Amino acid sequence: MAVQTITKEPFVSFASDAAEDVSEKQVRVQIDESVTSPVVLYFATGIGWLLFGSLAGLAAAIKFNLPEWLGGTPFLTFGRIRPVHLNTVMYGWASLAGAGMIVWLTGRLCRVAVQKTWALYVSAILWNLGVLFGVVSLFFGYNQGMEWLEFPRPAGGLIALGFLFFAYSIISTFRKRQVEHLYVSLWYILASMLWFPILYTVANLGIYDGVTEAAMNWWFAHNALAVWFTPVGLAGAYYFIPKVIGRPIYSYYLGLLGFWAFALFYNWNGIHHLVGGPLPTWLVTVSIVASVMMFVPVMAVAVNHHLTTLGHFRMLKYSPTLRFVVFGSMSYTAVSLQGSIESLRSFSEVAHFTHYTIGHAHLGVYGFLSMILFGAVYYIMPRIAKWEWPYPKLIKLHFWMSAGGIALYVIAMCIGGWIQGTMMNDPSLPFIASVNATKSYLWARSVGGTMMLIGHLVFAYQFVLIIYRSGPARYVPAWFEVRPTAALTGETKSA
Amino acid sequence: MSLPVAVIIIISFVVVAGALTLAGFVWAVQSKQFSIRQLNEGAKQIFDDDEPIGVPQDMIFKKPSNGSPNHH
Amino acid sequence: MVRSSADRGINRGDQIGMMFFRSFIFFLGVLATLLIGWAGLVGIPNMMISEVQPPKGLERYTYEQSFGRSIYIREGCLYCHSQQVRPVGYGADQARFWGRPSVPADYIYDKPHLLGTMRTGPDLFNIGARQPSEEWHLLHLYNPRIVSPGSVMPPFPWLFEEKITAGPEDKVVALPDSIAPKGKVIVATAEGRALIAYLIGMNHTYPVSQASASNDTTKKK
Repeated sequence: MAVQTITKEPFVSFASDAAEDVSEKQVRVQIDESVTSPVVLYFATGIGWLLFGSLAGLAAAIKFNLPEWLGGTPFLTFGRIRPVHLNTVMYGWASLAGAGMIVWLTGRLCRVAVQKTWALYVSAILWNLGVLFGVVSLFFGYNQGMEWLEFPRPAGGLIALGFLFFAYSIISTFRKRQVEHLYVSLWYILASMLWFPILYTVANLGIYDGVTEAAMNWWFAHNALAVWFTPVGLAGAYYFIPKVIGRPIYSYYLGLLGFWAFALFYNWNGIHHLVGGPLPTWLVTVSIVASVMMFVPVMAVAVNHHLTTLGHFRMLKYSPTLRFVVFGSMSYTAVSLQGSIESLRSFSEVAHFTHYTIGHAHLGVYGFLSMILFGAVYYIMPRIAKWEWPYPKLIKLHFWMSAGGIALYVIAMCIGGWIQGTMMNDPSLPFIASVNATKSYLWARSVGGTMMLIGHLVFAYQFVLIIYRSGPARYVPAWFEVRPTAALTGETKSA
Repeated sequence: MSLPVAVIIIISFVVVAGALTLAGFVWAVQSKQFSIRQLNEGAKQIFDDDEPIGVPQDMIFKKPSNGSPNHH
Repeated sequence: MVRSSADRGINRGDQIGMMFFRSFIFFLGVLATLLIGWAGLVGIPNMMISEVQPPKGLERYTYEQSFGRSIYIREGCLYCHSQQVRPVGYGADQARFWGRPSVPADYIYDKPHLLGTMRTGPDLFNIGARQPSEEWHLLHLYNPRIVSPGSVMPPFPWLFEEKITAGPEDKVVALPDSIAPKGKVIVATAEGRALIAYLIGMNHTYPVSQASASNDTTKKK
């Protein structure tokens, strides 16, 4: 095989006119090879937390339906399972799978092998240790008392340190880039490398109290979405949609505007979690204005993603990645518009404090981010494992369970939450009426959650298969050379 | 700090930051750092000769029309 | 394909310098958006709110109430209960007599804050004024559905223990005969007593001066 060996020096720059002995496919394959192990490590641990976190989430949901269920032991009380769910799916699943996607994407977009991969291993270990330590602490009742910041400081420290090692590798790769232009996904990735460590550290300093701490709490929580989770999702969507369809992004220039509008406005949203609360009115108003102004970057993204897809919807039939990612990008538009409206005082008067907020949150982190991450895994894994997904039917099952589950979840919680809020605001009704009215919707939510869990089990199963190159051999886009013999003779493992 | 002072500080920040950004943008366009057309070229960066524009990737639910070995 | 800078007549040295400069501008801009946002949402409000004085009617938490507050956090009560009373125009908090609208000064001794974002259960900021009965809280924490049929709140039996006879300090849970254990009593543990002390201590009905009430309730967007 005429494979160019990977050296520590960057490849010949594509900007020069030097004769290109190395074909682009070879370059791509070698970049993929440089990241195989770290990416698989991130994905595998992320998927492990996904299973654990989905189980915790389902348990929490069922406790609304059957409050006595597992009610005898303190470790499994709702008040502990609920933060376990939130922290494992966010800092476990979404962050780790997101990191895996970003590592692979950075290599591809910088057209260079990922640098300092040792740092990625260190990062993955520290990060997972941090989440593990944090989760065990939560089961034992150690909780810092603030939403999204429940983990005790040592766990948070491990996570922050893990992120720094990860950022070190990404930025080192960026510095060795072989491209002149930075693709839009890289803007989001690089921005988050700088944003998230600062955000996470400042939030964990513990230097505030009282209502200022509440302001800090929700500045953090919403900014975590703004500077880490959303950029991860958008970086993925901006790459996978045009790549899979085979068409460039509709209005790339608009993407530039969208990025800076995003950076400018999203940072100010946080206090919309405290509308009506004991904070200066101007502070709340500033966040409401910023939340509504998000319309601008969200529309820029929507134009780019949806108009690129327009006219190519039949490709959704054939590409699993496209299905998941387009679902995700549509959810992004929906959840962002929903959020802008939700922040308005008149809407918030009804929806605040209800399950509506929970529905909105899940549309964002599941409908948008997780679906895009699923699509990313389905795209990336064959290219680094050099093995195709063995059972396409299982991918379809995963998709419909996840899509159906989240649709049921969000619709149930938004309708149920609105009814809950309306009844809470009716003083002629006793408070318990608002609780009773939501019960059937909470059952629907549990059904949705079960569907999602089934999808995740199917996903995890097939992920294990592809790592071990099990199942029927199928044509793989990442193979450096097509090897017809193996597939034709029915061998199930490549050399 | 009273409310009016805080408001003045915040609004000054935003105005100054916005003005600087706008100035930077105007400078960039005028000194020909980029043109709109050149900006849009960036969209093509994710394609290359091997995975060019116009060829969809990842259509694994579809059987390819040529005779290459493929999924069951 | 990407147009090379060689085509644009720019030499390699200038090219590297420009790339560095643009990266620098990018990172500077990114940093600025985060820090200015922090300053606006946290930094400046902190400077304003730190001038607030503790209200005369607000006592510091007693040792037992502090302990109880940590139990409140441990059991995750904040995930279903809020501790902020909204003014007129923001729901029925006032019509339900949940107390006067809460102000920043009320939270001066609170660390961490427990404002909460869900009302699966009612707001607790003035629960001590609304429901001062220790007996009710003992029953409610032992199993909420005894006093609140239809509630989805979890039971907290580990905040209680079984004894043959109650000691002089013990608080007995007045269980209905159908579920009370025969020949034994259920009493609250120290943790249970502390949590109830915290809850009953939650009474913010004292008046606050106009100066410390910095919410403007007449504006609505």
